[in-house]
Amino acid sequence: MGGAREPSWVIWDTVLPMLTLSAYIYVYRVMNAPPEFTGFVVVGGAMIAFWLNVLWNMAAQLYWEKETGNLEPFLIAPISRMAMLLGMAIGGIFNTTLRALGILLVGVLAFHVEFLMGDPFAAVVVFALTMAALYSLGMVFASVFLMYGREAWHTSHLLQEPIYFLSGFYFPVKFLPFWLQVAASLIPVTFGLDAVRKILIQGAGFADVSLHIAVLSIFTVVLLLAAKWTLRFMEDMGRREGRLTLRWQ
Amino acid sequence: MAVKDVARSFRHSVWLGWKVDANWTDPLLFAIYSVIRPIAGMLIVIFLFLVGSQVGENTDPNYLSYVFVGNTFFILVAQIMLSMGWVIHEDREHYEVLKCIYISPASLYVYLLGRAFSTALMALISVAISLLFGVAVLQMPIDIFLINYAALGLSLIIGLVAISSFGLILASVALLTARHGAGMVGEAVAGIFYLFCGVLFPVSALPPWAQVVSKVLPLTYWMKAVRASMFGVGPAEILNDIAVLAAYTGVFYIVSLGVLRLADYLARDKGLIDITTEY
Amino acid sequence: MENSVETRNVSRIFKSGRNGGSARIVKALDEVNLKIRTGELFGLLGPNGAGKTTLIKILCTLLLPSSGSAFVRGHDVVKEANSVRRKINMVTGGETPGYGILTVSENLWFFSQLYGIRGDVAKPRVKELLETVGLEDQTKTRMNRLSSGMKQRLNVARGFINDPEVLFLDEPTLGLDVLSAKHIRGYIRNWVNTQPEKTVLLTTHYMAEADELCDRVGIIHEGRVVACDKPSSLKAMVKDKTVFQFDVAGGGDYTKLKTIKGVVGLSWTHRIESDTSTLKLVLSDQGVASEIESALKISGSRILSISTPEPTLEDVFIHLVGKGLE
Repeated sequence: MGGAREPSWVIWDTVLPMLTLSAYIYVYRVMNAPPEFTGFVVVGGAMIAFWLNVLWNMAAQLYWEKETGNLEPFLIAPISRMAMLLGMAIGGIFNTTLRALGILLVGVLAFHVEFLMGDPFAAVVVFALTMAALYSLGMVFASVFLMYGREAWHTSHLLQEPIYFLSGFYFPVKFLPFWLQVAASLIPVTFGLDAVRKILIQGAGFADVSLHIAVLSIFTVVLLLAAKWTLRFMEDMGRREGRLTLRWQ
Repeated sequence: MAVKDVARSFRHSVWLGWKVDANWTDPLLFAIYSVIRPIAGMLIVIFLFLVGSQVGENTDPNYLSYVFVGNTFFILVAQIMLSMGWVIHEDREHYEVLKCIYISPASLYVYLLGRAFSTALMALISVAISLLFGVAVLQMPIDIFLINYAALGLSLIIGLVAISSFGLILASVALLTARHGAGMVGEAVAGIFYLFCGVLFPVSALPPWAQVVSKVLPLTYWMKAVRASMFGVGPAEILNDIAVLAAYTGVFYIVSLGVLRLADYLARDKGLIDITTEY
Repeated sequence: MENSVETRNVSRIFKSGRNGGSARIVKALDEVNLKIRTGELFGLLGPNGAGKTTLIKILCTLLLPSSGSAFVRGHDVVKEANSVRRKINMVTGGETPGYGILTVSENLWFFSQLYGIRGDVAKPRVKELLETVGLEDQTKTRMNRLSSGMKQRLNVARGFINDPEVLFLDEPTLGLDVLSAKHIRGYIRNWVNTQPEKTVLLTTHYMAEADELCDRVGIIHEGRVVACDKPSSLKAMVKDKTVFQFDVAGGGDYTKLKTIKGVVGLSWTHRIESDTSTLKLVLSDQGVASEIESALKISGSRILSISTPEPTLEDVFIHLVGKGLE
């Protein structure tokens, strides 16, 4: 509904993120890197849309509801917190998918990125599992926001650049030192992004990304369970310490 | 307005900016945050270079320093842009204090500058941390004895005036609307500078039409002057860039004052000073 | 200076509606002429949406008038806004402006510095004001930890921080508990009484508050000032009218009573806990009361009591506007 009532997001969420992405593309071009690296950056930029949606629309959703005074009606209603967050996220996923597609389109039109598209079924499975894992992680973050306000807000900021770096949003993770690759493997988006790149840019099939699919499945299950537990734990703690409705900390 | 009134308003706005932006957690967590963010941003571009040099044909090692210095000093631009639009939004809608500031004799312009200065101080700390990390850990070839400190200081001062001028324009927009998201607009404008002002690559790599845009943005000359100062380039060359920077900054400064005045009038005419939009 | 606040034919129009909807024009103020004398505690009484807050915003330089002119301490609010701001302050009831992350004293300190108050003056004033509003124990508490009532008391303290020449109070006791509201009213009255050069413009929809506090009261309805005088003089307007109060069992819509000849104005309130209603009628003469009584009985209402209370400002409002302050 918000997207329909405020159509300016088309400009802000598609064309303008391309500015930073374009800068990175030009770095590769100045260094005469192969054209597929332009594709890496564009796909990474499209995935950033989802990461930011997880951080700011899913995780921070309860924070924004708290600050606008809308959290109390949600919390006293007999509804599942996870269902509530998922419902709020689904609208965001729609807009974010459009944003990501917009970025891919601008990448094709402005920078002539070529997508090979391997197995479409694999692409759909990888995408679905990545979203499930990411949004489960977002629910875990949301529980932190329930308890803390500004600290969680700043922590979300903190999870932007480091995750862009570790998860290989702008370059393949294999170029990182081994110990950083190990750290990156703890982040679900690393696998999702790598699999999507393999399929879209290198034309990979289902077998080529079967490991990614297995890991993402495990991530999804673990993070869903973690989200259920942390939401309950943080809400209880917030109620005990009187932080649930504490505004503008 | 008397000079001491201006100085007092400015000083307390800086104090307020520090309290609001830095006081959200315990000092240790704030210190970690202040260190990790700029370093992570720097590592992204460093690795872009390293990956590019492994897979590409251009392996000029000087380009790494180019990228490093540009990205590091750009922290000032990004932080100030983001904060100046956000200040109006936050003060109006979250803290509901904008109208209290408005009806006081303190100048809104001085208040905004004070908040920008506070952000600039915190951003300078991030810049210093990044430079230190780059030189000490990543072995960036920056010789602290070769840096032209006078030129660097002058470039930074004029550059901050330029950045604040753009920030004032953003704040003026925020006075009139919350629709597009105060932070989003700031990030978008910062993105324009990131692409067009020679932050990560020479502007000659851009298409011709984009180079024209670069030539009229003061931050293009700021980047050149800062880089030249950091690498000890001769004074004549730096002074030329600083002179052009100063000229363009003067123009944008005057424009920003006009835009703020207009926005102030329109905001009062439309009754926008104390609206809450829930954005 | 004789008049601290003066408005000359001030009007304010708002246009709303966009995104394909038809534009709506609202005339919030309609040629308002007011003169508030120096040293006066002036009340502006009216229901929600009457234009009270709009007028205050114009006088505080937050809003421009669509036409007309307004002056505060002789300065034009449009052309000399900065000069006006040096001499005023404003408190809006029900709002709690302040930085949650700062302590109570830090918030007040910051606002004192916006007015350029020297440190040696500001510090004791902050302390004194916090004692006045009963927050002396919360000096080092962050504002986000205060209750809403405490935040509102802090808001009131902020209004006095610069010792303004003209203070605008927009429903200042809204949301305060009874004792706090009484205390604040007493402070305001005393502030004006002991400093004859200070002026207060107070807006409220609490009749009793206006009656208790104000030297003069202006009644505003749909953007127009319909009456302006001392409370006693206003009440004298209904002297030749009769005010009757009927207490009846149950509730209902008593609008039909207005059609009875001789009924000048009517308002009623229904109390849910006792399921009774109190009807207040301003009648042209006593004889109409028996017709009202008959009409109520015919409609099935059980009359519990009938009385003729002393006229209040509400009765004046009913007389002038035809209905109560809903």
